[in-house]
Amino acid sequence: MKSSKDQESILLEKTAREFARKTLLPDIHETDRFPYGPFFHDALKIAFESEFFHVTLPEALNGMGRKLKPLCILLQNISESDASMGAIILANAAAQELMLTAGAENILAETISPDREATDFLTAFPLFSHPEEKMLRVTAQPHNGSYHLTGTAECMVLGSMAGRCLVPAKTSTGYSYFLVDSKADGAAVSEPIKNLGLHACPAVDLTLSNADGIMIGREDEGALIFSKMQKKMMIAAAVVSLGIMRSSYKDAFQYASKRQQGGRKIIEWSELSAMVGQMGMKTRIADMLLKTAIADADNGNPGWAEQGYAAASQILTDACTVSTLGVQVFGGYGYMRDYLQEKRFRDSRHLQSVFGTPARRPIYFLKQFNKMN
Amino acid sequence: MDENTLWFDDYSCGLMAIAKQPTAMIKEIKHATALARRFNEEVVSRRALEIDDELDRDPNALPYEWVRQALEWGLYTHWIPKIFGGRGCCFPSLSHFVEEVASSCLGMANLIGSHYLGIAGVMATGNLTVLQWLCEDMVQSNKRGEACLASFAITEPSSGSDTASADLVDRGSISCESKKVPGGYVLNGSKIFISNAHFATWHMVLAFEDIKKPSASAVFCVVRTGAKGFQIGKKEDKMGQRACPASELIFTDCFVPDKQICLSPHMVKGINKPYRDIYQGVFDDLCSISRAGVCALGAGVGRGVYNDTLKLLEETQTPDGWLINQEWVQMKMADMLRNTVVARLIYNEVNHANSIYGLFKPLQTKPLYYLSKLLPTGWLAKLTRIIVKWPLIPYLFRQDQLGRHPEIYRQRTSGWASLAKFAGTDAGVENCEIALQILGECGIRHSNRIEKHLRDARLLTIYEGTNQMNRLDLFKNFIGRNRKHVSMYSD
Repeated sequence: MKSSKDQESILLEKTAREFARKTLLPDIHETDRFPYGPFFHDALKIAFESEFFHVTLPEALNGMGRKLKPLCILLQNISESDASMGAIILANAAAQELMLTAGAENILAETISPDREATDFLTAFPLFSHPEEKMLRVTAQPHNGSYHLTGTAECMVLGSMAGRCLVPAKTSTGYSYFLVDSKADGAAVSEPIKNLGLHACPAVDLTLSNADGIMIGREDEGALIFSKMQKKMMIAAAVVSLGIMRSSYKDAFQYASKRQQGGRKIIEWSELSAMVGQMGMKTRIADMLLKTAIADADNGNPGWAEQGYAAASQILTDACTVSTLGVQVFGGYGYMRDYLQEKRFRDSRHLQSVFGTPARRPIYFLKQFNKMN
Repeated sequence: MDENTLWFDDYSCGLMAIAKQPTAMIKEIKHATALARRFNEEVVSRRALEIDDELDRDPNALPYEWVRQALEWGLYTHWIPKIFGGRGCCFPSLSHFVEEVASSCLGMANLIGSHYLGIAGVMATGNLTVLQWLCEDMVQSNKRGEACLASFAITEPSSGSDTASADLVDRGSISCESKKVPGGYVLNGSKIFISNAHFATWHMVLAFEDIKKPSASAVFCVVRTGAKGFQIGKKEDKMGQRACPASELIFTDCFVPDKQICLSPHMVKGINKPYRDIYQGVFDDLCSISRAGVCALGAGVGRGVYNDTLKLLEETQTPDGWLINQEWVQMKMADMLRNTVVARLIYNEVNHANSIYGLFKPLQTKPLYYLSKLLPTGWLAKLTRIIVKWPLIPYLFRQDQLGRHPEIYRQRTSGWASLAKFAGTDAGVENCEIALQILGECGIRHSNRIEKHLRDARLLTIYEGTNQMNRLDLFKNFIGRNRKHVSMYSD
């Protein structure tokens, strides 16, 4: 007999799959053209009404208990069809998680009150940067018990539509996070940034000029809360990559089983068979690693953060390899936008930069987990 | 020849070429590189990102502006030999030119490269007569201020990399038919992914008299845009290289007169070889040139992304200091420079192999080379017009081109070209990947050029034979030859 938690997971998986199949896939070529094509407002609304943006919240805030598993079920099933929607959910979840990590549950509760609409509910977040990698260009100055923020925060994911933005800004000896109303005086967003992938997950540069900001957590505590949030959300990000890997593998296998070259199905040529097999193996390994990482994180098992970070880093890179192999299996067709493989190729590389530059990850790994087991 | 001599001759084409090649070629190559730099500075770099963006916004648009600019700079006739009225810049310099342009925009470099691929296709068939009037038409059009470009059309919807191999094409699914009729051939079928098709006036097309025996019945012909029964179909919506559109060609009872047939099974009398071997020879010779060019594109995009990364690194300050001063970054940059330099070395080696063993040889032997440099173009072109009218000259040219070369020469040029193709393009793509690894969010922004380089570069590993096919070609020509139990495409 299945427990209620299992049943909840099955229902969530079914809902996510149906949402992806019925809502995202039919218009995917058009929505991937954003900003030159339409934005999927309707899909966003349905995702909101299906409470996809609530899953990581505590039960007290109508969520599913701050567990990774429900979020990851959603992300995988949605990202198999469209990683852009996966990245939207991920960015919002990262912002929520950061606020909860900082103990700002009350502020979060205000932002997600039930009467809000989808876009007003969302919080923009710089998903593809690490606040310690570059000099921060936003400075916070205390002002009448609050803070005034000045400078530019780059690549705020959802910044063009979300009600508010979570911005890292320099404070006295380090940095802190601030919640800024994106429509407030002194806040201006750029046109959507044209990026490599995840076209339907728009990002903007946010320019602030003495804009009011609410501090999240304590002053100079930004590095600590970012690090805690990142450990958990890296695993979720890798799940988006897993979605890309699964659909790449599935489509490559199907195509190679039909397409003929040199008088036989291309899957029957040993080199090509090895390529598709490699895609399958990497996908299965990612699947296995993430199942363990999610369970360990949710159960708080010793070493979960270290193992999860290592696994996620590897999977974000492996997704690039798998999507590249997918393009190569499809040959010329894999390079054309009529097929989804080129989108997966772009999306996997874009996603690789989640929470900072990929090449630095081994250095961060050593910094954060500098104990040999 | 013993095994060691073979080894030395195979792998030392550059050394072997030192004494045989005219030294003036070095000056020409420097000129071509300088020309490309000026072209980049004044045209390509300024507009590459905008054009890419405009073509993303409207996938049906065509970059006529690029075509016009290349025409104004004389780039469509720069590498046409002087004997055909062109400027006669030596062929190896074209690789250096496209490398340089590709460092700014791979699509633009391919737009020019594809034009010369069409011409090289005719050259590889050894048909001096067609080559003469075709090149002259291009030169005359150029003088009138009209772009007259060529495309090369071999890929069909169900045959990707098959066509370049006689073994595979005979087992594959071919559909473009050519039927012999009085005075010419009638074509039916379609071609896909044809670079420049929307711009080209002349299309070098491969069709087959018997689709059950393609390699024994292949017909190479040139078809003019506007010919009855010939249509340019859909323009492909590609991930990158948007400045060089790829399109479908559709033939419906399209009549091609004998004058436009470059090679057919009926035109090889006196060549003591099965037509199948001649077919393979045409592709080997052609790919030996084109794959060097694609390697140069790989070197170019690799250098472009290296330059742009360096620029971004110099501007990026981290809490630990300038990003460029971090050791892990310096190591990655060293890898990127290595990739670029190695790619260039390899395509130079292919050019050397082609100069002493392959298709470049006739025009790069010292007496002919210097004669062509010294004599005025008009005089040379006139002379060529006269001599191609004597049937004996085109006949001898074709006999030489298709029948004379020892097998080992073809293995050498093909082997090097295959190696160059996959090594150079893998290197170009790897540089783009390294850049994204170092730069993260900064690298995925369109305005920083890195992501465009990656999207553009990715096609390099697919066209001119996938990199997997090129690895097999390298095995066939250098590793597996004369070895016991070795057979290709048989597992």
